[in-house]
Amino acid sequence: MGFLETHLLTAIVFLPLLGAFICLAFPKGEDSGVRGFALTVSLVDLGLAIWLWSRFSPNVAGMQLAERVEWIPSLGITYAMGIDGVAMILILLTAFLAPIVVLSTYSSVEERAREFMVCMLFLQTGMLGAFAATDLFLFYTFYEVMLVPMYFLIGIWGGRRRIYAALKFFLYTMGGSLLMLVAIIYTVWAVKDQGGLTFDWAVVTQRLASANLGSTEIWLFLAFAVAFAIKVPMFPFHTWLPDAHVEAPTGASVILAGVLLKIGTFGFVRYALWMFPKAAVAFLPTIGVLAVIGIIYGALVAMVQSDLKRLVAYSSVSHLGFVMLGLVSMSVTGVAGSVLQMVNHGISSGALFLLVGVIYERRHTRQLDDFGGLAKVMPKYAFLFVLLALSSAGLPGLNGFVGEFMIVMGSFGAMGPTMDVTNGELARIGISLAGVIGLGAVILMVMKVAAERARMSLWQRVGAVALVALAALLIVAPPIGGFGGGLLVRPLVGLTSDNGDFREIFALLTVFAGTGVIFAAVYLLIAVQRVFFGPIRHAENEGLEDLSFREQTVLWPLAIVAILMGLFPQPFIDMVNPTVDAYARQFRERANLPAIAMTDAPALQPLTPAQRDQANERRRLPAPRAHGNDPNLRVRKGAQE
Amino acid sequence: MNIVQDLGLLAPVLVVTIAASVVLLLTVAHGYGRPAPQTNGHMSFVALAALAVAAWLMWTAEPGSHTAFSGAIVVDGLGISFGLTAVVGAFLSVLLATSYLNEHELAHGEFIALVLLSTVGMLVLSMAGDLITLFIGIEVMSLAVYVLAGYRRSSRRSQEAALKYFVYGAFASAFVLFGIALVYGEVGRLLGKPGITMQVVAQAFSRDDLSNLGWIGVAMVLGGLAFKVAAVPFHMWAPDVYEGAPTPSTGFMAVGVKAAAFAGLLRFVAATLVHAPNGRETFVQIFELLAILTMVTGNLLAIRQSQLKRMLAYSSIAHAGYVFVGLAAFVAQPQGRAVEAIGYYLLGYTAMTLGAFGVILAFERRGDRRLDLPMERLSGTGHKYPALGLAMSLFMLSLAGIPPTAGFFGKLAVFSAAVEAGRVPVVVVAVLASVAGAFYYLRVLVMMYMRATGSDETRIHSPWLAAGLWACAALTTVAGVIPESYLGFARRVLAGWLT
Repeated sequence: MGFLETHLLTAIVFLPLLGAFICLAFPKGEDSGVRGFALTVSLVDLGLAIWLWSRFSPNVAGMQLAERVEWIPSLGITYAMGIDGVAMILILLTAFLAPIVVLSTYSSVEERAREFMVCMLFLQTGMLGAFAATDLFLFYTFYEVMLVPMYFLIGIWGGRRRIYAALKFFLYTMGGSLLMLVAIIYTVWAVKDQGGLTFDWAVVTQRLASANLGSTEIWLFLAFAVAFAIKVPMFPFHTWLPDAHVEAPTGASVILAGVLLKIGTFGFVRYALWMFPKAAVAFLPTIGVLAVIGIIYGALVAMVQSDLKRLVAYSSVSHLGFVMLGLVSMSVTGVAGSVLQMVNHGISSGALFLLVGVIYERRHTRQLDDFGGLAKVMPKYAFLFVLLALSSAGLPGLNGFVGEFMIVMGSFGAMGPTMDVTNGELARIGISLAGVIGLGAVILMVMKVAAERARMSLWQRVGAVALVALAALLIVAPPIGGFGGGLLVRPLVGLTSDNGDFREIFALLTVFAGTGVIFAAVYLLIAVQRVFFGPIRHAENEGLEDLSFREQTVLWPLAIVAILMGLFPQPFIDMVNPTVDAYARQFRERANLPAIAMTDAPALQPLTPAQRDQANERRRLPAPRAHGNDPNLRVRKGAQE
Repeated sequence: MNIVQDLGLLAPVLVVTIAASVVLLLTVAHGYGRPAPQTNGHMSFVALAALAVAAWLMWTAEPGSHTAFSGAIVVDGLGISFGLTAVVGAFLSVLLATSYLNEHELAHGEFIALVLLSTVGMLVLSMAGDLITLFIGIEVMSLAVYVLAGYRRSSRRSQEAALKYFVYGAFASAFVLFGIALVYGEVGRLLGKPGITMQVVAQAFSRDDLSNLGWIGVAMVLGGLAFKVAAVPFHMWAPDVYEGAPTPSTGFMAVGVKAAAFAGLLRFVAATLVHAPNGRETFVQIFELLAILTMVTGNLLAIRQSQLKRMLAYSSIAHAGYVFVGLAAFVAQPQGRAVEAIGYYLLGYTAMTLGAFGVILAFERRGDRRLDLPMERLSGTGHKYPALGLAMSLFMLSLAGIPPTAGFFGKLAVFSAAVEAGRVPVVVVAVLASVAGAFYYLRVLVMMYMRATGSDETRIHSPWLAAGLWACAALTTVAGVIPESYLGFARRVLAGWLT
């Protein structure tokens, strides 16, 4: 036991891989044996993860249970693993979802069960490794390795357009992550002078703090951020997600939504934001705006879907927008809420995908119109679906509420980045860009809706598009020349160029994000209503069987966890809080942000000069950098005087 | 001047040479033209044993630089590490070729003797101490490969490939020779006495009054070598020759020739450009331009291919481009790490490319008159032959650069060298090109696994093939997971190479 105790993380990460190799040795057609074996492996892994949890001490902020072996000394690469609170909770989530998924595929995957299980277990190793790794090279290895089994899962067991979806998923993610690889190499070599090559995440971060990379840091941050933004996926990098989700088999969808997307948000907090705080701070408002666009856009698009699975897929875009908003608010409450929301989304979205899979297996359709009145024939199913839909929509008492509430609270009170004007200008450009992208998205969506109503005459269509474009212009148009920008953008611009104080932006963004909660309730309840209530409109639906014992075994654990986390969130919050607290505080310190305080209620209007001076003083405004010939700075100095 | 000592230094080359002679003699003794290919496995054994001994001699070689035969041969880190790659390539090729020759009832002896002779040329090329030896190495290597390309005498395509390769190749050789002559003249002009060894050339090139003729000579030699590695714009021959040549020959020429030619390139630039006080930056930019052109052209054209061997031809062009990134980094900042990176890349490339050709070869049954394997024909084979499918997946993912394979770590090492030399833009282009590259490698997997149709292809079952594929797969994985094993070896033998 001694070895296992000291190498517990390694055991957890590589046990599924070992299982995958053993699965390969099973004879062809031995499906039930392979399934049972894979289930056993994932259950043992869950047991190990729970043991890990029991040994994890939540009061320590740093890396725990660390392991470290020299791997490629020529390049300073180590096999280093360790967990903090965030990694711990995500490892638990992964280990928890794995047996559920394996069990759920007993009936849905009839062909090539052996290969399916091999991919699944292989994928599990990739995900767990990505959370546990504390060496940049090791992390990247796991991060990339994950693509391969997912590619096969979508491509072999997927729906009609599976090949397109699988390729798109793979190339999108790979494109982003290769740029990140260049950034990793560059970073490692840039800090080489401070004591040799190392890929160790903590050491590199520490060295970066004292290294002066200048504007390169912005490019490095962007390379990381784009890689993770594709993975999350953040608007406007989300287009691979609906395709991948809709085409993927149920089990793969659950893992994709439940865990894979979290690696993006996890990467944001662990790598992109943490390693480059000085560059990140200029982009926080931009990311916030994109997150809010994602929330609203995802919700709106989910609302018009006629395919249940696509609806759940777009709801992921919306929910992960919340997670991103909480992360970039960089307040303890916000980040902790984000981490909880990652888990919550994993549970409720995963459960919803499983539930969609259940009726798809029975009816081989996912169109909302093909159902109706299912509550009468499938009462247990309806009960679980409604429960988990409400958890996804954030009903108080269920898990979704806790995370969303903390995010909203945290980002509303976030003492946002206070920055000098050059960065403020950058942020303003970012906001404008986000505005343009949002505008484009709205127009595209309108055109798509218009295209579906083909019977409209040309003039009607043109009129509709023009009307919506005008409305969109009023709302999100970027500021150009004398035009001050759309209604949504104008106050942001006013704030940015006025005093460079972004706190209010987050308050404003939170208000918009709040609408997402309402939308979520709307689209989920519409779906529930169309599927479960009203008369049974299709004769095929009358004889549908309710959930089998196995299906209930798959779904009830998720429902129970959803309720437990909703009623007793404290242990989970305690698990992540010290870590998150350290993250947020140190991030703010290193990025020259004001320390976290919830002293004054955020104002929605620009502060008066007197108030601003007072606030700046209280927030220990960093001394303006000495750019002698920077015209922006002079403007700013004038404003301060 | 101790000839015994010199011969001792050359032991790996001699072992391979002797084995080639033995195989030729056995062929003659067996009686020419008698069809009994099944009994000829012993020739492969002779070749494998000799190559294994040569590889072992090089793997355990002492660090340091030793010259032999009045400086004509330099046994140093570069020669040993790249020579090892060539020998490994030959070893794997012999394994794969034996199954092919058995299946198609082609004579073993000549094929294996030619592979060994070509390997001798590669070793000489990578250990060349002067420009004449460099040329002799190129020629010995190439002549054997020309014949290998046309080994299926009954096939017109094979003959066409051989002729095409020969004509283009002769042209390139002439360029190299002319370039050498110009460099020789320039050295004589600058130093006042003629000299052809790398050291003397380096002396001449470290002066700052080089004439344009000298530079033209350098460019011509580089062009000729770029032809051998199939870098754009000297790549035109590759797709046709790769397609027409019998598959084991294609595999062999794709890996060994490339490794040896890069060794020659490194040796030549280390003697000339690296020492040149001016003009170096220009050449770095030219190399980078070549690298970008090669990567982009290779990858984009590979996407359009529907035949596997042709696709792999373009893929090998693209890989030459990645290596060129490392070469440019080496010229910009000459240090051992870049050479290690290139050496590692070529070793990984050898394993994965030969593996891919091995899988293609497995589907070429007796009486198969197809010129190339159409990609459509792969559909469903992954499920029909799980082991073969798994192997092909590994090779394709490695070629695409997915960790933890040798293909990924090679890219990382080469890109690191370029970043270290401050050459970031070319690296960004390289990663973007490799995303495009991933597309066509993944398409092979799409064909093998994701098409619903069953397959009516049948495969060769042969212990030789199985051994070859297992060896390629093992090398791809082990080198990828424990790159330190090779890097440690390379650093040990390369110690003090540049000084």
